[in-house]
Amino acid sequence: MTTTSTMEGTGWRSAVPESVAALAWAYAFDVLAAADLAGEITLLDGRDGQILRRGASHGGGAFALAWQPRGQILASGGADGRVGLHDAAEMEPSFLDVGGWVHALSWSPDGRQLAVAAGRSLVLLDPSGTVVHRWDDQPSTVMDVVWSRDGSRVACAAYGGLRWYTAISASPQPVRAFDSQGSLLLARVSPDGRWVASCNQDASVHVWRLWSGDDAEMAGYPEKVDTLAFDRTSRWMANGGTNEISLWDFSGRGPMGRAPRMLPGHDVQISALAWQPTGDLLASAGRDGGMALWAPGPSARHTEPCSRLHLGSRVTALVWSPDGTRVVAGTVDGAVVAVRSVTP
Amino acid sequence: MTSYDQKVPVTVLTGFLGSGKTTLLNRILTEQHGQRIAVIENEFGEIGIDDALVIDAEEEVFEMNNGCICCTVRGDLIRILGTLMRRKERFDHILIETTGLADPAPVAQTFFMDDEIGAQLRLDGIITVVDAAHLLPHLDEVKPEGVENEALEQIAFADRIVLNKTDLVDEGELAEVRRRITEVNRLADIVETVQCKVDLAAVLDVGGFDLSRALVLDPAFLAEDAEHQHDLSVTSVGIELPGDLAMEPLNDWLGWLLSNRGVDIFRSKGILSVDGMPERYVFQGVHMLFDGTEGEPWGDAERSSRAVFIGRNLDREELESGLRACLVP
Repeated sequence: MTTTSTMEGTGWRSAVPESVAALAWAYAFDVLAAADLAGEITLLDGRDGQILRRGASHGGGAFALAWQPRGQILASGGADGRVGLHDAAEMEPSFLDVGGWVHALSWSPDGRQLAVAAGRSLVLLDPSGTVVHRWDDQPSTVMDVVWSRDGSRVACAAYGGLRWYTAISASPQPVRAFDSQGSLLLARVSPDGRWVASCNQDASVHVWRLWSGDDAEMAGYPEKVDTLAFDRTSRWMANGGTNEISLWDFSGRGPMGRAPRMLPGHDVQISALAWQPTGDLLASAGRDGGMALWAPGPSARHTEPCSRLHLGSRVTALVWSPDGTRVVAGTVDGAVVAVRSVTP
Repeated sequence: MTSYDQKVPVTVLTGFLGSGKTTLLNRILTEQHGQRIAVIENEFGEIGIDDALVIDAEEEVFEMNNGCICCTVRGDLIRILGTLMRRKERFDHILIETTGLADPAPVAQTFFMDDEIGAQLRLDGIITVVDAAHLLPHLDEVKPEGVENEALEQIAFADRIVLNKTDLVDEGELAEVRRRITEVNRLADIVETVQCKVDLAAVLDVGGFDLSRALVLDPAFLAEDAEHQHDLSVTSVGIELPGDLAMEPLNDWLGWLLSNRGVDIFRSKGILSVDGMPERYVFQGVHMLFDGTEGEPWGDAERSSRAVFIGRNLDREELESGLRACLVP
């Protein structure tokens, strides 16, 4: 019933001091966290955008946020080479030096371990901030970290590909390496755990099947591809790289040998993509601040966005509320704008 | 799209440790007060200015997966410039200080290979600071096979050479240093200084990659310096040809040149007279990355073509006969 979902206009509008670098919505309560390039972490009420708490955390800029699944800890990271652990039950966050810019944070599916991309290291922390393991001296700066669906393996994405390590009884050497020429900017594992995909500086997307390692590279985008997202069913993967969304069908034998569906609707390069966690809506945004909601569905005929909005400046982050009723965009101007996807 | 003038200028400062690079950097930061300047440092310097944003970087060179082996970029700069561009707080100028061992090519190519960076920032120039008293031993250093002489490369890539510590050498030595620099790079202006006391416009407003600025290719720089020509690994080759070039063979030749000799051609610049074109055709290149456009109309000026190639193991005969073959018969 995707046709009943319409963008009801702005739900609320709030602001943080600097350009939004990351957004994350808590699972346990209706609170949204925003990290900005001034280094502040702001907590906003998901219902109305009221600012609940704000604090300087990462000098030089905060880049990454991750809420603990089934828990109440918010992890943050940034240019100061520290990880902040903000426990909702305590007033003051605790900080831990990990060395190097923190570009990405990812909790294991059970929430017991936090993987940190810190400079040229992949660092595993427990929820109290104790280092469980470090894999230092990666060939280049780690840009993203991903977990296998069962939480047994963790991978870092960097120049040259993905390197997988065992998280339980940590292996010093990678247990698998998925090589890729060029520099990986972001990686995602499909929710069903069967695929991992990366988007890359050299204007390509690379996908690998877990764990056969069968892979395919989708090259030829006009620019670097810096956003990519799987839908909740793992059938669809959307990525940017142009002003059209590429939608790849992962059903059956996967996207190999298939052409993607293209969704035109933005005037400029896509800068952010996010699938609704409860339904089939895809939110997209461009470098000019244009934002659209799509209900692509299985039929190739649905290629028009179901609604559009213009936020005026480049959207850097998009995140859905866990209940799928709101999607929030953060912009380079520090605007944080919630859009309702369904009539409440 | 941001127009040229709205793009934030970026200056690359390079040079060996002890050349006076940090002195120049501190001078820029002190004298350009009122400007918001971001500094990206690859070398731990002593920057004593509070209102500049200083970011440390570690050199990471990435090959681009496009079949072009000289198309390398700096991953660390892409990340840092990416966050600088997204800040609400705007900067008037960005300075990138590289180590004396850094290859300038990936730094320059980053601005042409990453469209997001190229849309918002412009590379204004590569400034190489040279210690007049210590340059020659660096240039003459014999490197093992396959190892680059970084001092040579940094001079070859420069838009401007700040020839520092001129008080430590006598006139004869200074003339020899100048001659050797010009031998490698005929395009770069040389600014002589003591303690890096230079007019900042000479280092911050260079327009080294700007095709709309009139390229001044002095004919004196183009002539072959027969007296001193000896076996040099990195040199400049200047060519001047009267008459008009035919567009089609010219395109073919430039295409051939960049794909077959692009690895060895560090930088190239030219003003060409193309048959049927009332304007000058101006171009500049870094390795295989090439940018050309229409310049000023010729008007009553005498039409001729001038080009300079700076690079390794350049074959003057091949370059000259290649360009000559494009002349309209």
